[in-house]
Amino acid sequence: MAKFHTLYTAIELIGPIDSGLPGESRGRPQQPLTGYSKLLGRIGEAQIGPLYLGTEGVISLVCGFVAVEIIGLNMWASVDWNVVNFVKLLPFLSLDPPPAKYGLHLPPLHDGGWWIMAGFFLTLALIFWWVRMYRRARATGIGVHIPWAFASAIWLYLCLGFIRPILMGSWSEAVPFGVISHLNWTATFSLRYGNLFYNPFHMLSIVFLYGSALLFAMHGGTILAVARFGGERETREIVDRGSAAERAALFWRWTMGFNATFESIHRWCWWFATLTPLVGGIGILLTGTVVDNWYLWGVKHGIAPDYPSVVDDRPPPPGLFDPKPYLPPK
Amino acid sequence: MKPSTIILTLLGLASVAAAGIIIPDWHAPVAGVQLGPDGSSMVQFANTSPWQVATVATHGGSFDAAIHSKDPQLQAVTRAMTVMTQTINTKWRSHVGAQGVTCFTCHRNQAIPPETWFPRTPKQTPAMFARSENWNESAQTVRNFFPDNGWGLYFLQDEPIHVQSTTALRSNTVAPQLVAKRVYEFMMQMSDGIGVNCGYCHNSRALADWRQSTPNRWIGYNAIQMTRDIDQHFLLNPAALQTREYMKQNSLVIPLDRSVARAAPGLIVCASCHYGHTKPDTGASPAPTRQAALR
Amino acid sequence: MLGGTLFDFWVGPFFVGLFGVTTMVFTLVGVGLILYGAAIGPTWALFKISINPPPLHYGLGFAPLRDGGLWQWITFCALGAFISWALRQVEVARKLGMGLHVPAGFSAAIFAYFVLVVLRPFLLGAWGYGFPYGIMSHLDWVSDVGYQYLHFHYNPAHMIAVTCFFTTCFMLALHSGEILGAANPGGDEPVKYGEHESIYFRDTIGYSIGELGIHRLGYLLAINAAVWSGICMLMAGPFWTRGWPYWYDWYLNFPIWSASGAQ
Repeated sequence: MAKFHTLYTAIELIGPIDSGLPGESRGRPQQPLTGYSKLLGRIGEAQIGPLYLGTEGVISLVCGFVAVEIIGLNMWASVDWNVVNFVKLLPFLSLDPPPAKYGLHLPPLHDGGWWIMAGFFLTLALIFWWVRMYRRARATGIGVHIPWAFASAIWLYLCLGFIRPILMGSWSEAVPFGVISHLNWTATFSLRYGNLFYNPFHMLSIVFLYGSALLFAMHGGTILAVARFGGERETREIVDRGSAAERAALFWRWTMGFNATFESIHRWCWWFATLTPLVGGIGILLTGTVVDNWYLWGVKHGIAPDYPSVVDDRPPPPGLFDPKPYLPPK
Repeated sequence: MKPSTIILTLLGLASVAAAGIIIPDWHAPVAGVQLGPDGSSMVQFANTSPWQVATVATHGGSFDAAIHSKDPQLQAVTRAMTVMTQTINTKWRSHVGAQGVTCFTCHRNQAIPPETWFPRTPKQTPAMFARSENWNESAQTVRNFFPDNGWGLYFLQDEPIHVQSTTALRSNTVAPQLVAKRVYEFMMQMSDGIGVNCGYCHNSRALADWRQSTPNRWIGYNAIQMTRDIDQHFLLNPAALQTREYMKQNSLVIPLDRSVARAAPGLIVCASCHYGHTKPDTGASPAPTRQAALR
Repeated sequence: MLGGTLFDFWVGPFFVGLFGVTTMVFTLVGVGLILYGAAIGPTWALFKISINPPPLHYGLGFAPLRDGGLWQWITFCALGAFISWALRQVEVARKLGMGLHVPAGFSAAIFAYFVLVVLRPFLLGAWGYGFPYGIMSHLDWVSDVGYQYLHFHYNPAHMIAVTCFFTTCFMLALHSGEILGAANPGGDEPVKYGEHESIYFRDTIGYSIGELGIHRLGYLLAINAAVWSGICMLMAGPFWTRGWPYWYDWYLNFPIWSASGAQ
């Protein structure tokens, strides 16, 4: 006889298509692409769709489509419309922001104008998607915690591509659209500003990012471990604590001396996940606007370790930008 | 088929693939005839002594014959190259030290040194589409694939290399993003060319700080000054451009993935001498004196 | 249970067990050695304290205490403490009739630590390749090792690991927001359960992975983040020694590009 497995579903249950909120269900099981996937059903639920479009959903998809087309067509043009080269070089292709000489003015199309347009439409798409997430939450009768977490992510996106370039006075500071090029941007950014590891908000953001991974491993593992008691029915356990919630709480109480509840663990998780981009955005905003060299900032505030010098004290070569001493004044 | 057979076969295939994927090599040139991409042979050079200038088979003979040749182009090329080698070994001892360089260091028994750099013409995108980065689409190695703007910016001009600020708080002394990107590309290619990493010269928490850098950074600094001298004064000047004519007339073929612009006979970068090693190979052991080399 | 019922008691809320005892021993010794290392160091400033691994010339041998030996003992105690903690979690889980997923997940993180301070240094031939124990100094190590490969973002296993980290954060935000939203609908709304949770995600993104599925997904993503982090560092050094961008030579030479008429 089949056993209960936590990591995959041994027995899949297929019933009628769940067609959404009462009052909105007319015609929805017949939506194209709505159906069952046995493969997905091994890991999660088998049902795919139906999707709710809605006004802001359509606007968001259209704006997003425009942005993707602008980015993709410019990339394709840059390889002379050669399809094979497009596929081969796709990770390296990029749509770059305007050069510094235009400041915050609108540049010509071929020199950053397309980037501005793509960024504009992508931002619109994200904002309309946010509205969609909010309105669907209200319609479904659940709280708006997801939209507020999403807002935190949008905050980081706006910091990187909009707010910081405005504060720096130039669109050239923003991130290019491209797989490898956005990674190059990240490394170059850290090199310019004296090693971003010394940025305290960067440190905090990493704490929350790694903390999120830690928490999801802990929480996911805990729920899977009590799945045999129905622990995955979390809202039920919140309002009417059962054996699953009690065992899960005791596990952590006995392990580390304190525990959360079925509801409060989700508050821990929500804050760690939401604070990652929130604090990261602050760190980005401070870089170049307030602080020019994070390592030197670290020296100034006494956090930089003092390593013994490996070189003699010859002065730097002549003719270079003459650096002031890097050691803190005695 | 038994599962263990399948697994062993897959493992075998995987290791063969991994050997091809993971083990790097430099495609270092071998002595003898090198074929161009269309099959026509490049000129074969005698290898009796690395201290002789590579001679052309049609002319035959030795360095003496070349320098006294009636062919003005061959004579000009030989003379220019000799003066260049002398300059490196005297004026730039701060970089090449007592070991110095020889013709073999760059040429490695070939008419065209395998690791020279030819500036690429900027990519032309259709009129109203966005300008793009100058990736070399036909490159077969990442070394040749990366944009070469950094080489042009820092070897063909005397641009100071400056990225980081010297103050903690804002002082408008940070280089723009594009400049920093070019410096990064330049430094990365330089590191790969001499087979080292950033830590060989720098302390990555404060790249600009000389007091936290290693003594090798001085050697690298002098290397950049030397390469600028060679590229700007020997390889870009009109005498050197005669080399290009000479090459064309003698059907010397430049491999396809390096040949886009042919704006010069080929400029040198770090890899041109170093070929991925910290100390270039002069082709002789034990190293003879420099006077003997130039006789 | 190992140790029988000898250690089967609680201290306050903490379960002891045999592995509770070993954890305490390793922790006390390890923290004591850390404090000792700070004391013989140049500073007590929290961010500047650093216990450094031995210089490379000691290879894989035992180094003198003041010259990296402390680091070696602290590493031994750390591994002992982490493994003891995981085994103690096993004991607690079995006591409560739960599955062993939590200690299994924790083992992935221990694997990543083990790669960094034992496996990779062992393969490279010296304990000195481990990372220093200091708040800023371990970040300096990360930066330096990254730049040893010229541009570490190009490491493909690193790309996978980073993707897993960001996706974990994203999924965590969605899951926790969902549960909190269902349990705190605002106003006079009744609490919602699984069907409504699924409706929200089907409406917005076309698919709902379900109550059990999201925990599987999060658990697997988080573990993969740790495992691929370990793999990416195992690649860098023992198996690849040039800059990471230069690894992609094979990609540029893929036969299909020339076979299909690209330049």
